[in-house]
Amino acid sequence: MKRLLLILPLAVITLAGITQAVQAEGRLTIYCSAQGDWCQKAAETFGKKYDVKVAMTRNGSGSTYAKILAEKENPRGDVWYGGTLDPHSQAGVNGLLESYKSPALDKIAEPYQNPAASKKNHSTGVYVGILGFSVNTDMLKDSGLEMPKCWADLIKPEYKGMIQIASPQSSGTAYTALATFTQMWGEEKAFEYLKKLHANVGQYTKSGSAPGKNAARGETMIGIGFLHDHGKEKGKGFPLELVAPCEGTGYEIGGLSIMKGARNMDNAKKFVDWALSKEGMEVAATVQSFQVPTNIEAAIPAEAIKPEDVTLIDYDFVTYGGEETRKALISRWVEQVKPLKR
Amino acid sequence: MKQTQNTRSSHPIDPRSKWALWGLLAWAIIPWKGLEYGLFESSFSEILHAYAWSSLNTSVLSLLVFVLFLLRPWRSLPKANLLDAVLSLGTFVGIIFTAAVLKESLGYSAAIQLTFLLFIFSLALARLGFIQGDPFMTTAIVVIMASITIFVLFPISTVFSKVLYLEDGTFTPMAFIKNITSFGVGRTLMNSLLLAVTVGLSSTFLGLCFSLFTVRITKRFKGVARIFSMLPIVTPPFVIGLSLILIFGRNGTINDGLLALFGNGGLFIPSGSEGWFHRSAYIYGFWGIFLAQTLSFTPICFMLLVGMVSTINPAVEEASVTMRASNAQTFYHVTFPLLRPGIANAYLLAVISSLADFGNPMVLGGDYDVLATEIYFSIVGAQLDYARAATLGILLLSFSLLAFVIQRQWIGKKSYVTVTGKGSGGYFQPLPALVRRVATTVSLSWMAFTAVLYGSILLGGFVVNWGANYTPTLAHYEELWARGIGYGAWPSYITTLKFAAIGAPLTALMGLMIAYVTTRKRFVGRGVVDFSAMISFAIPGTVIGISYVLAFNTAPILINGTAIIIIISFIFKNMPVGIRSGISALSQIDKSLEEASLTQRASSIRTIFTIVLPLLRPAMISAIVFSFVKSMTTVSAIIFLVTADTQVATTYIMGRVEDGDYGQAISYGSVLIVTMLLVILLVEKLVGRSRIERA
Repeated sequence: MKRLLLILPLAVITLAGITQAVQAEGRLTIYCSAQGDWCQKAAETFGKKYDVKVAMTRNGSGSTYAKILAEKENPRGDVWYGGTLDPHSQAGVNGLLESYKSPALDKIAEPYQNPAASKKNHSTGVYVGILGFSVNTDMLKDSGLEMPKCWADLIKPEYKGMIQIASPQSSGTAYTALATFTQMWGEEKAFEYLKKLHANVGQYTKSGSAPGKNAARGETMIGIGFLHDHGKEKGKGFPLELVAPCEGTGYEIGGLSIMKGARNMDNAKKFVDWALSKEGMEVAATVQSFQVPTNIEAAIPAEAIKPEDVTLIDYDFVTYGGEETRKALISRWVEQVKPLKR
Repeated sequence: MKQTQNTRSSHPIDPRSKWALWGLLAWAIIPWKGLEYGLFESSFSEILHAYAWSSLNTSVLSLLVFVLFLLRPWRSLPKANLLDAVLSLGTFVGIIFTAAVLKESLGYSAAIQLTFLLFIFSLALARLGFIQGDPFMTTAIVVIMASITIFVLFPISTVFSKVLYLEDGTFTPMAFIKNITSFGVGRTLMNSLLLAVTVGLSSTFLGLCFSLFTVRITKRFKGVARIFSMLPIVTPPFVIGLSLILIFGRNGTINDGLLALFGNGGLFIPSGSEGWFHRSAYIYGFWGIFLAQTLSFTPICFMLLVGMVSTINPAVEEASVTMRASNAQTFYHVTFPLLRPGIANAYLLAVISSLADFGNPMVLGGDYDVLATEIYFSIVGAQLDYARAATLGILLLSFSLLAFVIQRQWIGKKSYVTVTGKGSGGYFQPLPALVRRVATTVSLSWMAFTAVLYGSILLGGFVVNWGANYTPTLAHYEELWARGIGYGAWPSYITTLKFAAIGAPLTALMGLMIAYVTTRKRFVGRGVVDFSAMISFAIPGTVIGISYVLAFNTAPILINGTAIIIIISFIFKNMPVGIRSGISALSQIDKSLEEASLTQRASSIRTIFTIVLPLLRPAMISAIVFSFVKSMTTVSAIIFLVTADTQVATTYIMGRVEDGDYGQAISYGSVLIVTMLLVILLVEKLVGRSRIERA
C-alpha cells in the first residue's frame, strides 16, 4: 500500500509528460449558440486549421448568457459564437465581454461592425436572420384557405387556432417579433395587433424555433419565427413555404464576442478573425444553415432569403436590446395580451 | 470515562494519530491545489505547481495540525478530547475560509486531508459520548452533515441570496414580496398544484394496481410486467413527450386514423359531404403533461410499493382469516393499512416529482405554465431575472415540503413492522374480487398502452421523418453509431455510462446511510439532515444546475467544468430516492434485531454489515439501479454543467431535439432504453433477487 502511494505521483508525472507531448498549439473554449451542427463544423474546421484544441459547448443564447453571468468571477469560456444579439448586448453592458476590433472588420458590412448596445466593439455581427412565418403547404391545401402574405393576413379570423409563435416571456425570437411590431407601428397599434393575433394563436411555444418545427410536422399550419430556422426544416423535405411579410419585417443579428478575462485570449482573437473571414462565414451553408453572412465577400447561399428581396425595418438594437424597454414590453404583453380569452 | 481513556491511550497508536499520518502522506504526494485542466490534461509544471510544498499556501494549516495530531502533546490533559474536536473542526472550517479569501482552489489532496480532519473530529466526538460513543456512527453522521452542507445547503443559499440582494449587492427585502404578488404567479402556482395532486393520485393508484397484480394476482406476466413498469424510468426525458406527440399529436397516428375514418372524404363519410372530424392539438396542455407524468412516475410508485407488497408477512393475513375475517375485511383492515407508509411515500414522491418535473411540461406544456418551467425561463428566457426565479423556487420548495409534512402526519407513529426475528410463514389470502378485477384490468390496459407508445419510439428511429416521410431507413443509426468510436453518439454514450456507474453506488450508499441514521439514531441536527435531503429532491434540476455553477465556479471549491461536478450533482439530485426506499424498508424491520446484535457486543459496523445491510438488500439494489438509471436520464440539473468533454447522452439528445433531428433523438433514445434495461436485468441476474422478498 505504502509503495503504491509512492509510485502514484511518479506515474502521474510521467503521464502528464506524455500528454503534454501530444498537446496541440493551445486551447480554445467556444460557447456556441448557433445551430448544433454548425457549431460542430466551425469548431472542427478552426481547430484543424490552427492546430488548436477546441472545446465547444452548445447552448441557447439565454442559457449561455446565464452561464456566463454565473461564471463571471472566473470565466470558463473564451468566445461566444452565434445566437441572437440581445443577450450579447446585455453581456457587454454588464461588463462580461472584452472589446476587440478585429482586422477582419473592414470586410464586414457597416451596420454589423459594432451593433451591440455598449458601442465598445464588444460584439460583431456574424449573420443576419430574417423574421417571418412559414406555412405548411399540405395543410393549407386541405384547409382550402389562401396563402397568407402579410402580417395583416395573420389576424384574419379564418386562421383561428392555426398559428404558433413563441412566448416572449421565454423566447428571444418572440421578443424580436414584439419589438419589430412596436417599431413598425408604434406601441399602441402593435399591442392592438398582438391582441388580435392572440385570438388566432393555437399555442404559444416555449422555444423560438418550435413554431417552425411544428409547422414543418403539421402540428400547426403557420409558424412565426426566424426564416433560416424554417429553411433548415424545409431542406429536410417538409412541405413548408417561407414567407417574408409584405409590410416589412425585423431581423436578428448573430453575435460574436470574446469573454472578458478569457483564459485563451490569443486564440479567442484568432477565432474571431477567422469566423469573420469569408472562409469562416461560408461554413454555415455547408451544414444547411441559411442565414445571410455579414462578410461582404462571403457567398450568400442560394436558399437564403436575401435582405434585398425583403423590406427590412431599421431595427434599433440599442433601444430594444436594452433591459428597460425589454422588461416594459414583455410585462405589458404578459398583463394585457396573455390573459385574454381565445 | 477516565478509565477508558487510559486503556485506549496505552494502545500503540491512537486512531487520530493514524489519520494524521495518512493526512501528512497525502500532503506530500498528491497535488494540493485544483488543476485548471484536470490531472491528465495539465502540463508538468502545472502539476508541480499544484503541490502543497511548491509554494506557500493554505496547506501550512493542515501540515501544522497533522503534525500536532501525530504527537498529541496534550493527550494527558483532562479535556484532551474536546481540544481534539475543536482543533480538527476549526482547521477544517479554517482551511475552507482561508482558501476562499485567498482565492485558492482546493484540489485532490485538500479534499482527502479535509476528509481526514473530519474523521479525527468524529473520533473525538465519539469519545465525548456522541451516539453512545460509537465512532463508526459518529463518523457517518459527521460526513453526511458536512457533505450536505457543502453540496446542498451552500449552493442553494447562493441562489436564494439572489432574492434578497441585487446584482450590485444592495439589500432588497421587498423584492420577494413584489415578485410573489406579481402578475401570473398565482395562476402558475395553481397549475402546478392541480397537476401534482392529480398526477400523484393517478400514479400511486396505477403503481398499487400494478404491484398487487404482479405479486398477488398472477405470476404469468411477471417478467413482462417488470419490463413494462421499468420502461418509463429508463426512458430519457423528451422521448416520452416526443412519442406522445407522434401518437396523439395534431398530426399523429390517432388523428390520422380518425381522419381517415371520419374526416373530409373519410371512410364513413358519404362522398361530397363534410366530415365531422377535424384535427386538434389536445395533447398540448394539462392532459398532455398529466399523461406524460403519470407514465413517468407510476414506475417510481410501483418500485416502492412492490417492495412493500412482497415483504408483507403472510402470517398476518392468515391470522386475520383464521379469526373469521372475510377476504375483503382482511384486505381493507390488515393488508392495506400495512401498505400505508408505502402508499404515502409513493404519493409524496409522485407529487414532488411532478412539481419539480421539467422535461414533460417543456415538450408538452403548450400554454399551461408550471412553476418548474417558469423558473427555468426566468433565468434563461428573454428576461434574466434571478430574483424571480429564486422567489418561484422558494414557493415550489415550500409546497414540496408541505407535502412531506402531510405525509409524515398521515403515517403517524404506528408500527408497520412485519420483518421480525420471529419465524414467518403461511400463505397469502386471495384478494377481494373487486380489487382483483380493478388491478387486473388497469394493469393490462396500461401494458397495452405502453407497448404502443414504445413501439412508436422504436419505429420512429427507423423512418426518415415521422409525420412526413415514412420511408424506412437506417440513416439515423448510421449517423450515430457507424462513424467509429470518437464520432457521433459514442463519446457521450461512453461518458454517460461511466458517470452513472461511478455515481450510482455512492448515491445509494449515501441515501441508505441517511435513512438509517435519521430513522434509527437520535442526534443533534437530525432534523437538518432530513430536511436538506428533501430540499435537494424538491428543487427543480435547473435551479440545482445554476446553483452549482454559482457556488463551485470560484475558489475554494472550483469544480465547475469537471466531471466531478456532474457526478456530485447526480449523487445529491438522486440521493433522496435511496433515502425514501431505505426509510420504507427500515420501517418494516424490527429494531430489536439490531439491538440484539448490539447487546451481544457486536460493533455497529458489524451490526450494519451482518444484520441491516442483508435485510436492506432489496432496497439497496433498487436504489443502486434506480440512481444509475436516473443519472443516465438526468438533463435539467446538468444543462449548465456539461462541457465539450463531459457531454452526456441526454444533452446530446436535447441538442438533436433543438436542431429538429427527431429521428436521431428517438434512435439514440431507443439505444439508451435498451442499454438501461440490459443493465437492470444483468444486475438482477448477478446479485439475485432479494431473499426476504417472497415473490
